[in-house]
Amino acid sequence: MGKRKMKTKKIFAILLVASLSFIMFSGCIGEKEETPTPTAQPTTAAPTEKNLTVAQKDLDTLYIATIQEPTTLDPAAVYDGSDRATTQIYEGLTQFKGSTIEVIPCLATSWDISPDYKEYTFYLRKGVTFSDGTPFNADAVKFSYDRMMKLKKGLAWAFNLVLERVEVIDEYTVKFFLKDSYPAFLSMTASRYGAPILSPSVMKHEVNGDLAHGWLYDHAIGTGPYMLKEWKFGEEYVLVKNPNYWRGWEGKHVNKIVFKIVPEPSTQKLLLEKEEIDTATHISIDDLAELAKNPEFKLVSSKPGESMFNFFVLMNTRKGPLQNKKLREALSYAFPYEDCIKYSFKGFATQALGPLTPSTPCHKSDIFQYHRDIEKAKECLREAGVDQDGDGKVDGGMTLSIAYMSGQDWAMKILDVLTAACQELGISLQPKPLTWSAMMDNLVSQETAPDLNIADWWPDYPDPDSFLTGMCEYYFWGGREEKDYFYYNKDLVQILSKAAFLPDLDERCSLYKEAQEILVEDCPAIWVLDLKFTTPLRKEVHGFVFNPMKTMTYNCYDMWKEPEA
Amino acid sequence: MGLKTYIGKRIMLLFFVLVGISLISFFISHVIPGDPARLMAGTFARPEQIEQVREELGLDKPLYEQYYIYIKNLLHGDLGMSLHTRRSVAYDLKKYFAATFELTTFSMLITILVGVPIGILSALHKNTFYDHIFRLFSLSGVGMPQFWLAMILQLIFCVKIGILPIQGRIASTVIEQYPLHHITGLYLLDSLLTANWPVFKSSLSHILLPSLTLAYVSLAMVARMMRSNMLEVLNQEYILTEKIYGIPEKKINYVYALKNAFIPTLTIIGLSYGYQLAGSVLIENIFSWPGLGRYAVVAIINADYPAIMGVVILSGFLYVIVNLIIDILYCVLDPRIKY
Repeated sequence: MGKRKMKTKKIFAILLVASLSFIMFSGCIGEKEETPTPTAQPTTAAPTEKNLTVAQKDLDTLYIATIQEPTTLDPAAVYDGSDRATTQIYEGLTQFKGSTIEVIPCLATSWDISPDYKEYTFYLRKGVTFSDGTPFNADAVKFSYDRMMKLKKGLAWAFNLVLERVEVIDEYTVKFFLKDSYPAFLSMTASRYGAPILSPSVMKHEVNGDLAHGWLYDHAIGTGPYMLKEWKFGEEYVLVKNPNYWRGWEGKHVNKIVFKIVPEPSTQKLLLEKEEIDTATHISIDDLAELAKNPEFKLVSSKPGESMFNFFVLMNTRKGPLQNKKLREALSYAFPYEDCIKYSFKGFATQALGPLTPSTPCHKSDIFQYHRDIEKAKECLREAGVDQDGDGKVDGGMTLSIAYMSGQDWAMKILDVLTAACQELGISLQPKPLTWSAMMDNLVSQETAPDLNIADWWPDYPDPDSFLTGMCEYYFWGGREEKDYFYYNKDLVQILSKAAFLPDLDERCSLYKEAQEILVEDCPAIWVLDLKFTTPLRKEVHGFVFNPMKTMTYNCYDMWKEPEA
Repeated sequence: MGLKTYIGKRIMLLFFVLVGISLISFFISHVIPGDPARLMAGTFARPEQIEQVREELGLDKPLYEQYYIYIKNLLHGDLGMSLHTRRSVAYDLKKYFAATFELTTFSMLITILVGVPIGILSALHKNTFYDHIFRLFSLSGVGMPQFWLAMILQLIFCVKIGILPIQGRIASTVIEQYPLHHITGLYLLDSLLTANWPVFKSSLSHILLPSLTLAYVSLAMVARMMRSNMLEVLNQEYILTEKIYGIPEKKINYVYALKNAFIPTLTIIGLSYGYQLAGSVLIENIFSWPGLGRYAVVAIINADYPAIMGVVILSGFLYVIVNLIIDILYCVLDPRIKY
């Protein structure tokens, strides 16, 4: 009897384990995925997997490794690396030519600008259709810009500052009325974040007045050369050619683009070496230097003066020892710029020439540039009154906190160099690695603000307003109370707000040059370097052109794959 | 107390455990640095835009009220919307957990199939050459950093020999040619059930390296545990009695001794399985495995508190369930155990 009872118990236990396991399967993962139903398996012998995974042999497809998937495909909301996908699917009224910042026609064939830069009239390209067949016309342009401004996401904040309204003149003419003169508006329409022309047909998918933003998260209807085919969350997203693309498919192109999500840069490099991908977005500087020696690869770098991506170390001018300008100058003199570029950045950078990169319009090319001069740095310490005994070091030592984005290869390299330079002056650094959002949160209030902060910057469109004003607002005073400013100069603020809306381009430029002088003179940052953006490509890949306004994205339509003879 | 009552009690307890987990994780995820409203509003958002987003997300409400709303939605099965991926957290968890579940289960199978025999053989051949080799193997597993092992395996099997893929869950070209009919969301199992051999082959080759890396540490622990338990059991008097009765040695070792020695090992297996089900950050990153660990890290970096909460609650739930299953298995292995 007892034995039987035990047996029943055993069976019950086994059944329970089995059912719990089943619940785990079905409850947590059991639902059927929304994937296409299986199609009949090909009857002809398919190529083996080994053949297919090698990017080199699959000449119709461009394989790109990227560290993250898009946060949305809504072109009016994109404001991060999602543009790698959206710039292939959507187009703007204008675009930047090749590797330059010259604005050339795209969906608009020409334009008129009123002398006061308040009215921009665009004449649109005829015979263009969206990938769903909807015709492209002035209504679509008005719809797209109105939608973006209403949605208030992405670059909408900048458009909302300058754009008053968009008017349809006729089917292929559209006019933009600005609130004030704004000469940079044309380049805004070419920006990767400011090209939201999408099909009005998307409104069929609007839910609860969301302007179809929810639907556009993983759907896309643009005029661009590629269309979204599928997006396997966390794994990859695939774009295929838009057969109705208005430029046509004559010549050499790739028919398909596969973006693989590879979060680890070292794995990206391995994939490149294994020929499983053609290019990667996040290869570390040390790995780039290694790939440069490998004949299987070609590295396309921005030429000197082309990059618009710079690095600097912010110095807190409103709290702590760095309120003393002489101490800030001492750090600027102590930093070994050349060694940092040569050894830490392996030559993939150039020394910054002031806060603007030389490629930005109105850059002041004869601006004062700090060079490593340790004697001068020590002299500055004495003048700052922190080195009374004259030994070239801060009396009694000094500790400064320094925040940076954790895990960012570039920032950590700068931190190492700066730590060594500061030690020579008797200053020790206390590093605070933070996530991007935490770093920005700390900067908002002086209660949490560090003494130093490693920062980077690039503009949304190639104009000193986007570059200088944007940078100052972002890092120094924007969105804060006066007591929390990191750095403030009343004259600079006035100059920047006046210059932005000046129709006289010469006067505008001279004001921006004055602003650069103030920023160098006040020394609120060590202007460290401009990054030489470098894209590694397998040697079979051709047609890639670096554009400073499209860092870490690709001109896929112009690219093709062809083995070298 | 009968088994049924015990299980009923444990499931009741699970409810309180989940409330406790949700309470702690909710308050912790709300005090970690980083403002979710700022992140949602975008890099250059003006203060008023940030405030607008804060209001939309309900982040302007007192924390206890936010918690009340969260729990109310949770009871309706709504885990909220991820601030980063902008998808429903439940949907994300389902997608990412399937990958982690597949990887972890596969690695646990390796652990059991390799670790347990190694432990037994070590014990049976105590202090011999094989024992030393097995012990060295186990020690190196416990001491070796996982990320390093992962990279070394990648270098050897993917780059040098070139027989296994470096990353991912499946070759996209294979799944494109041979579409997989999803039943459970696990590639290996689904392809096996639908006899889709090219997909099976591809997913097997993709899962091998990450699961081997993951298995190595737990395998070493299991082997060591199994060895010492086996040795202890083999020295028990009842084993000696069985030997005197002339019961074949194989039967003694592999039936009577193993059954008793396996119970503590089962605890270790259960604990590490439950732990691994939360996702391995390092392994998933290195092998680009779209699992829960990677999802959790991205959520933490982006102060995506609904996603963080979702991961923590799911992990807690799984941990408790796995341990419950292990407790039930004790009963099966040793009928003397009563609850």
